Amino acid sequence: MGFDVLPARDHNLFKVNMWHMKKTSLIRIIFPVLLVAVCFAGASAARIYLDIDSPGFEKFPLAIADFRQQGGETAPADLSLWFPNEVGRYLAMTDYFQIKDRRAFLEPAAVSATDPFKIEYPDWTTIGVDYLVKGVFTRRGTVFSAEMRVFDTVRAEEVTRKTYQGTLEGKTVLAKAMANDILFVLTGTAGLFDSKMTFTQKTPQGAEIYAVSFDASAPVKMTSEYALVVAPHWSPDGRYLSYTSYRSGTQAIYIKDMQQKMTRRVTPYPGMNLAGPWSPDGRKMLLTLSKDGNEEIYSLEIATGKLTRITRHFAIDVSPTWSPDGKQIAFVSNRSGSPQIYVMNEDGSGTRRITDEGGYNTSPVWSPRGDRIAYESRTGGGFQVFTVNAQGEDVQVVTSAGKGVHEKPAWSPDGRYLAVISRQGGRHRVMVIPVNGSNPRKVYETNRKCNGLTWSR
Amino acid sequence: MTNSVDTITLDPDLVESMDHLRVRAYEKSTLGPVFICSIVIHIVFLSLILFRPMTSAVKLTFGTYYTVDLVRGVELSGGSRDQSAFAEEMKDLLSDKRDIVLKKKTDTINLPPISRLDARKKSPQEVDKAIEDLRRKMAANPQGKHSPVTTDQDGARGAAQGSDVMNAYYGAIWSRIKSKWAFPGGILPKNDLVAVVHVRIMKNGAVEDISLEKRSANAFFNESAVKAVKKASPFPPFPVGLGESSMEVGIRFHSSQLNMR
Repeated sequence: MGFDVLPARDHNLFKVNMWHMKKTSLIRIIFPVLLVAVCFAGASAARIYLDIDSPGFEKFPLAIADFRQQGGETAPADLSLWFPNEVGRYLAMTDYFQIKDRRAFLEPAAVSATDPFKIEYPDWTTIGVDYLVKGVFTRRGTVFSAEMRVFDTVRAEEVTRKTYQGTLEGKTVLAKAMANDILFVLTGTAGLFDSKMTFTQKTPQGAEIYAVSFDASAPVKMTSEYALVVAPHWSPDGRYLSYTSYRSGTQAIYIKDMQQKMTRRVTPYPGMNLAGPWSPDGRKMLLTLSKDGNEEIYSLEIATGKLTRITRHFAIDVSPTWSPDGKQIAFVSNRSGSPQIYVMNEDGSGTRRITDEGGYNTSPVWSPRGDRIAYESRTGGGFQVFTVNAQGEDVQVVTSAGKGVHEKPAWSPDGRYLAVISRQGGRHRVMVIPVNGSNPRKVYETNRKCNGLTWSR
Repeated sequence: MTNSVDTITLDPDLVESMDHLRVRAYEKSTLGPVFICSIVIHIVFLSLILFRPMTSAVKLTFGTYYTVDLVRGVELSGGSRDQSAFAEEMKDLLSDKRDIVLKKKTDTINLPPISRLDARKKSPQEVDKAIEDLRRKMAANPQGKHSPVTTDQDGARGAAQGSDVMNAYYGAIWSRIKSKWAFPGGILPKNDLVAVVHVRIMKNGAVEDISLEKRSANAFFNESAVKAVKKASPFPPFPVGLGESSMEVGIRFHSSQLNMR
């Protein structure tokens, strides 16, 4: 019987909304549809559509072959294993990759004996690998260089290649750079492994600012104020760190130039001086000041020192956060009686409330993707983190009470993760959580109270 | 330097959560009236609900879908309803040559396992005969005065069995592609993406061409969809009795379930 390829016309003819249907009615629908399809397949050659709502596997299966030494002086032999392990360790942190165990590899070592980048693709697709990384390294004197290539085993083609140069001692930097490049080419996220989470940690004199990186390496102390420091915020280029310090005995906002190692005092105004985030273009900074009677939100032009008041309300307005385009600001206000999240235009117009569930919602942070705002909400005994879209709809849970209190959310620069401070049993942890809430990962833990979390490149 | 600042407590917690502290005091002062107001409103609403006139139960529907027309097909095979209308629809469908959409939710349908396909193979002639009968009757009776589905009980049973076989075949394709689809939901924004991959499956299960019929806005998502189909192929050969040399299938990949956990 002849078969015609038909243009896809009205796909919606029998489009059935299955979302709310019970199993029985589902079968009642599908069965006759198939009956029709089968009975008249020969005559009408109707096209079948299958819907798949979720993947069988929520990670990219990836293999990293042992790196090979290529010429040069002899380098430590275990490097051929060290590189795959280290790059794999980084990629596994993202929760996007399943790194295949090398014991499952089928490809004989002889394949790459002459050409280190020769590949028997079926050997990799057979073990269920979508992507393969191969690499070589060379040591000449103090110079250590490496080349890495990423292959798409399903399409049997190369995806990218890159060369790296450094020292043997600095090999960790090379491995991290490789992981960054693989992550970028396969998911579009840039520089995740170099990004850092900054927070305040209690000290005998008050608190200082510390930073940990995505790979959970040891924290680096960023300030030496010997006083209480709160509300750290980075400039978008990562050069300046702003914060509120009590170093002079009263609250004032300071900007620290991390390149020049110089600190400049921006305010004080009378009363509260709370540093807020930098605008996406890096020219302005949001502040909370109480100089005009009660807590209001202001923006400060950093180059000129021009201060503009944004909110005018007898209630408390605090904790501002920019939308990624810099045109809107989310903030906390108790103008309705309880603290809730509001969104307004940059000039203070068009204020609207976006949280209506929960009687206590604070610490808003706007996703770099622009689609959602994370915040903490008081639930039962403590705080938990939620997200909501900028229209105030579609509230989603990020953390739950099972593992203690979670607060001070901070978005990763790519908007795919949230960092939160988790408190349980006298321990304070910085946790990284994929936005869908799966597999939280601890990047720092201490018994000293942490606060004011931010995440930057 | 020497500002006459009103004394603000130096406790970091209090400073950082100034909003918490101040608002709590505010809440206390306003709680009384709000509470009473809430009670009054609750009572009013409850009494409205309790004492409203009894009305017939509200029927819930989930939007318009073509249940009536389609379900009639099954009921017809039992010979209990108006048959000519069904035949009319069949004819329309035949002449219309429109695409048919099979929408399936992950965990709502129990497809027969692939192994059951073999069990059903023992009666391919029966299925063949049923389908052939059905076609002949349709051709001989274009006005649909005597619906083939009801006049030939055997034929209807055979066709039903044939559809079951095809159902299993589509189910096999579906679960194969799903199991091969690897995609970390975390890399997507919270949008509902849809990518449609078109594939032509040959009689022996080989795949002739795989193409993106509709791209989503995310290139990584699209790529994962194409990869899933590539990895899932070749598919099982067509069930015995299906006279086609090839079939066109569109596989729609949705992201909606990815971020919702």
